[in-house]
Amino acid sequence: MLKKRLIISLTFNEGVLFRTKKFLPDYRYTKNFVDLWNADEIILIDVSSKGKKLQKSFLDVIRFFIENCYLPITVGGGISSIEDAKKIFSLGVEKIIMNSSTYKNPKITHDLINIFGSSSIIQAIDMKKNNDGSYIIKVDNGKTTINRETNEYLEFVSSLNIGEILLNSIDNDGGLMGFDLNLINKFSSKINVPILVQGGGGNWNHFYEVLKLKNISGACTQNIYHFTEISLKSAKKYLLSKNINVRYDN
Amino acid sequence: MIGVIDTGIGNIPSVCSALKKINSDFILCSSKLDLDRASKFILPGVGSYKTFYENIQKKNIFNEIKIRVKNETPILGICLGFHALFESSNEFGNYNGFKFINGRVTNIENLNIQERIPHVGWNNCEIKKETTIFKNIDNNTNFYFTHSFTPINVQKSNIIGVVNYGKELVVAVHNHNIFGVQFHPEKSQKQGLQLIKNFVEDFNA
Repeated sequence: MLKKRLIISLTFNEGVLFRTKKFLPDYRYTKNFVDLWNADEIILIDVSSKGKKLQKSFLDVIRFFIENCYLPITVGGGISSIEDAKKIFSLGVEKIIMNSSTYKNPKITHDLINIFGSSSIIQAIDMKKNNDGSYIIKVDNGKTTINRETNEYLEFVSSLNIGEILLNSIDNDGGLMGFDLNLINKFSSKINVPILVQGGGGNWNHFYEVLKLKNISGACTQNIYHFTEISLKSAKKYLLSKNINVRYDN
Repeated sequence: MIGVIDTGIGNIPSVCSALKKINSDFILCSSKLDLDRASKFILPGVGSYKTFYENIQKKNIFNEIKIRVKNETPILGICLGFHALFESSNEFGNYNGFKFINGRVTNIENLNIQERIPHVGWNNCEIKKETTIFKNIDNNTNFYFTHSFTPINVQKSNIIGVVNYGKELVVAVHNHNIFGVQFHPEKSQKQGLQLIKNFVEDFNA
C-alpha cells in the first residue's frame, strides 16, 4: 500500500536557509542541521527576490542535497521557462513545483508536462483567507491576488494534467498552530490528483489531523525542530500508533 | 566499469551520486565509443517517454545498446529506463521500446483503478522471485515511486516484484541479463543503494 508522506520543506533566500512566517523570512539556520534519513521527501524552495532566481547559490544548495541525501528532491520557486526547468532537472531533481508561472503563462506548464511527464510537475496553490471566510489565491510569493475565481482556477489547474497539487495556507505559514483544516476540506474534494498540504504543522497531532484524510497524500513541515532523525522517528511512531500508514524504517 | 546511459533527461546525477556512494567506477555513455568501455549498463530516466526516446535516437545509440544487451551485457533500467525494456509505450504518442521483455507500457488510468494518478510516494514492493538484485533486501521493503505509466501483459516468468495500488502493478522484472525497476533505487536510501550494489557487484550474466 502507498504510504502517507512526511515531507521536509526548506526555503532559501539567496542560498541561505530561512524559516518563514506568513511568507516572510523569519529566522535563518544552517542546512548542516538537517539530518533527514527518515524524511520521505525534501522540498527546496527559492524565495529570493524577483529577478534573482536560479542563482549559483541556490543551484549549489540543490547540488548539496542531491549529493548528500538519497531521497526524492523537489524544487520550486520562480521557475518560469523550459530552460529553468531543464537546468534543475539536469541536477538530478525528480519533481519541480510550479506556481505563479502557471497563472501568467499556462503554456509553460503545459509544455513542461509534455517534456518531463505529468508525474514530475507539482502545482503549488497559495491561499489566503478573507474576513468573510472565503479563500483567494495569491501568486508572486503571496504578493499578488489572482484575477480568477478560486474554484474555477483549481479546476483549470487540474485540467492541465498536473502530477500533484500542494495546497498552502499563507495565514497558517510558520504559526505552528496546525493546518487550515477548513481550507483543506473545502478544496481537496475538487482535486483529483495527489494532494500535499503545507502551512501550520507544529506538533505530531497536526500531522495526524491531515494525514488521516483520505484525499491527502502528504504533509509538509517547515519546523526546524522536526529536522532531526530523532524527531522524524518519533513523529512516525506517533502516526503509526494512530493507524496512519507511514514508512518507518530502522 | 558501469556505463550510465546519458538519456539527457532526469535523474542521471542522482544515479551517479549513488554509484559514488557505493564506490563504483562509472562513465556516462552518450556515444558508441562510450558504450564500448562499459561492462554493464544502467539506463535511468525521469520525464516523459517521448522525450526519453527521442533523446536516445538523436544520440544514435538505440540500436547500439540493443546489440550489446542481446550479446549479454547486463542492463538495469530505472523508471523510464524500465519502460524502455518493453515492446512499446504510448506516453504522448506510440514509441518503440527495446523489446527485451514482453509487454507494453500504458497509462495507469487504463487499469480503471480508484486510486489517484500518478502513483507517487513510498510503496512496499512484494518480491515475487528471489533474484540477485533483491539480495539482502527484505520482502515488502518501501521504495520511492513517481509514475503515471505502467507495463501490462508482462509474462509471469519475468515478474520479480509488484506493488498494490488499487490493482497489482508490475514494478520489477528480470530476464536473463536484463533487470528493470519502476521505482527509484537511487532515491530509496539504504535499501535502494543495496539494490544498485547488488546489480553492480554481484550480478554476472
